Amino acid sequence: MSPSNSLHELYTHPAVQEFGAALRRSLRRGDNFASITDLEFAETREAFAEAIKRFLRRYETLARKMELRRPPQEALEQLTGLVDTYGVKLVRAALISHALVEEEIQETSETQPIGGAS
Amino acid sequence: MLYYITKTGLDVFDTARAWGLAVVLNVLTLDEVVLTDSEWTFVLDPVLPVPSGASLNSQLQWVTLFNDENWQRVFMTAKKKWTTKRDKARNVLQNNLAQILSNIYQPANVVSFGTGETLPGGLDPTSFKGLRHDTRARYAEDQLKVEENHWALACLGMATCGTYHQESKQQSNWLVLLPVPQQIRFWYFQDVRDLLRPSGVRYHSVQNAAAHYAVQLAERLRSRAAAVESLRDRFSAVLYFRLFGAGQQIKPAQGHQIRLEPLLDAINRDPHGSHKMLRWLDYCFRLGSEKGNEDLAFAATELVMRWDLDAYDRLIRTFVRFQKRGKVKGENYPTIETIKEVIHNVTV
Repeated sequence: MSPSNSLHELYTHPAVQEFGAALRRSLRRGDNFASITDLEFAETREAFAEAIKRFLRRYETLARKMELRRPPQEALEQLTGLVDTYGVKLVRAALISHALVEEEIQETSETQPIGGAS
Repeated sequence: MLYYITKTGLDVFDTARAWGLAVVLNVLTLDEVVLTDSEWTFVLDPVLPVPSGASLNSQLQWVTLFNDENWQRVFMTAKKKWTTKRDKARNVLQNNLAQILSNIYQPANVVSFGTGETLPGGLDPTSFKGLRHDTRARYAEDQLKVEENHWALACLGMATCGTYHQESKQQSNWLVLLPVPQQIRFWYFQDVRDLLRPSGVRYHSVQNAAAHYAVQLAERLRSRAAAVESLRDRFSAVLYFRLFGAGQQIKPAQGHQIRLEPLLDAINRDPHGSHKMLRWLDYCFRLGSEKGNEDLAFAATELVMRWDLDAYDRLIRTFVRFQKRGKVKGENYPTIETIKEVIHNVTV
């Protein structure tokens, strides 16, 4: 057992930050708690991919309505790679960790729609 | 000059003796005593040497130590005879001072069990009958007797540096806490006891209470560390146990220890930055103390006791659920930096 450098690395990884911020926005502005529940129950790589797919579908609706930033395609690819390297449990914990933090000031006025990963 | 408290394996007894000796040396030298946990022993190093022919009797600080109400709690199992026991402890330390100091000056000193004074249950729960041996339907276990010099040191240490919190006024339910020093400079016993002063929070279990007290202790050490830009005093753990009234008797319930390294390492890394982490954990305990919020209290307790990924995962999932229910106000949401600091301590 060692201090969790891997969890710390994951938490600060750009792809996790991107998806974590989207999860936070969908939770706060879209009341999308279902995606958190999906992630909580995801134990395998396949279930995690399915949970992310469902989250992106839900988030797309909210992002269109509120003109929110979407996670880019590269972030999704990187997230998949991280699951292969670190496992579902760690990536899931890092994502939910981002979901519970307070929104930063720039996030509340963020309306930049960029190429989505739907 | 170094003095040694050799560990016996009875955690509370050993730690209480170390605190007791620190108090005695502090009264004799009127200066700081450096107290270090050195695996098999606690090493005490008074900054000033003990004056030759020193006596405790004439010291005002010494006399006032015995007016503390904690003495009654240490000897709670003796009921009305607690004053006799307290006076006995004082007399032993006063009369045998030279013998005690010459004995613990030897690094290889040991404590003999089986003769001497009975170790009180209010001091160490392992001294209660029925816990050390298989009693098999026959409730006839001997009392745990220890050498009277060491007994008196332990009683003094527990009465001065131990903390007794009564859980409810109606019942004799007590939560007992004692911090384990790792490397500290001891000056005044109230400074030690102040680290575990009452929180005013309702707890759901003895572990829940102990974990919150550990976080509060860490925050008080952090504020001291932030003032001088370094963590001067380090504690390795907090020993805790619960005593409850069973009819006419006091009996021990659960007890264990919470290790403090993760919290103190965070403070040592950044005394200012760790403030947010400790404040968030404290908030989780306080919110969890309300009726219906038990799952948050237990999740926070688990994290502070284990610091592993499962405990962390459980806490964040519970916290998100509380946010969703609207139980967490916006200003109490953790920041990215807060979570980073928590994650830094989690073992995977």
